[in-house]
Amino acid sequence: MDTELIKGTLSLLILSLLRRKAMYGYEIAATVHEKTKGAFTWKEGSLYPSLHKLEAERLIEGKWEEKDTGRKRKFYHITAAGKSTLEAKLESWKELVWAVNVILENRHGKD
Amino acid sequence: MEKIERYVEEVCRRLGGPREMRLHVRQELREHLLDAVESLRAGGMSEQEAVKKALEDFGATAEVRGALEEAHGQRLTAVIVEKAMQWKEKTMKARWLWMTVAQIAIVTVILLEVAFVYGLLIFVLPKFHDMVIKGWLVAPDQATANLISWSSSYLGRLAGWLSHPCWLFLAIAAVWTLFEWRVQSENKAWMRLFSMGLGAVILFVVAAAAMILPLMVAWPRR
Repeated sequence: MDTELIKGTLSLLILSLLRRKAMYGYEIAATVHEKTKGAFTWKEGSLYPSLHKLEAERLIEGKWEEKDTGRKRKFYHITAAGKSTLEAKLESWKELVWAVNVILENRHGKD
Repeated sequence: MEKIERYVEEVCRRLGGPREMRLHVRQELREHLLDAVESLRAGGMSEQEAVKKALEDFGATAEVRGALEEAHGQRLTAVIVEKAMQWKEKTMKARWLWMTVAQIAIVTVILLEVAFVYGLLIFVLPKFHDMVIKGWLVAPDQATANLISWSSSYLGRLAGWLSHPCWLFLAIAAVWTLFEWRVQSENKAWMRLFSMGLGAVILFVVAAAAMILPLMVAWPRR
């Protein structure tokens, strides 16, 4: 899949996943990979700048937690501001998908 | 795992922001890569393969670094240090280039001097001896006569030394090998250049002294 398309939707994906539960970076990458069956051919490193930007915008919050193995992981939680931004982004996304579909279907003579 | 540390260092070296935040970013990336390696190893990969794959999946250093620096900014001192290191590397490359050119130039001078001396001994010396024997060279005074005599004896000795070039070559090769093997100084290139320069000067003196011979040959007859 086009990486530029993925970049544009990354914050939407992150917020969407974090709405369900708090996750750490690797977990987010692994979940995206698993759920999309590897359709997203993105580089995992691009996840962190997006996470950090969302954190700076206070849409998510990072918290270090120590696991039983002794290793620390930074879990990200969605904030209230993050939830309302997600709702707005979802609305925009739906509109975009609808608009793109209209054009694509029109192109194939289905109008 | 050393590769992971190098990768994280490469990606985060110039990262801006407070120190604590920078350390957290490093730790976060490190943990991600360690998780990825663990997961790939559980899938049956060797550690080496898993590290390679994890780093590939994470992305090229320049790309990840650029994206992180876009989010966090750059650290001025790190940027200055990196630029200085790049400049030093370029200078080192230029120094190597000029040193090589200088060494090639000196070797060429040495070879030309050797060729000159050998040419003199092979083509001119027999004729000189012939002219002396036939009495064609008449010295106008005692000083010139002494010069001719000294020149003849000097060239004779020189021909003697150079009549066994294999031994001379072996001796030089042995000294050179010892130098290359034993000397570990960081100024080795300069020492090599100095030695070759000294050799060239000595050969120049030898060649200049041998120049007396053509002068004698060209001396006008009475």
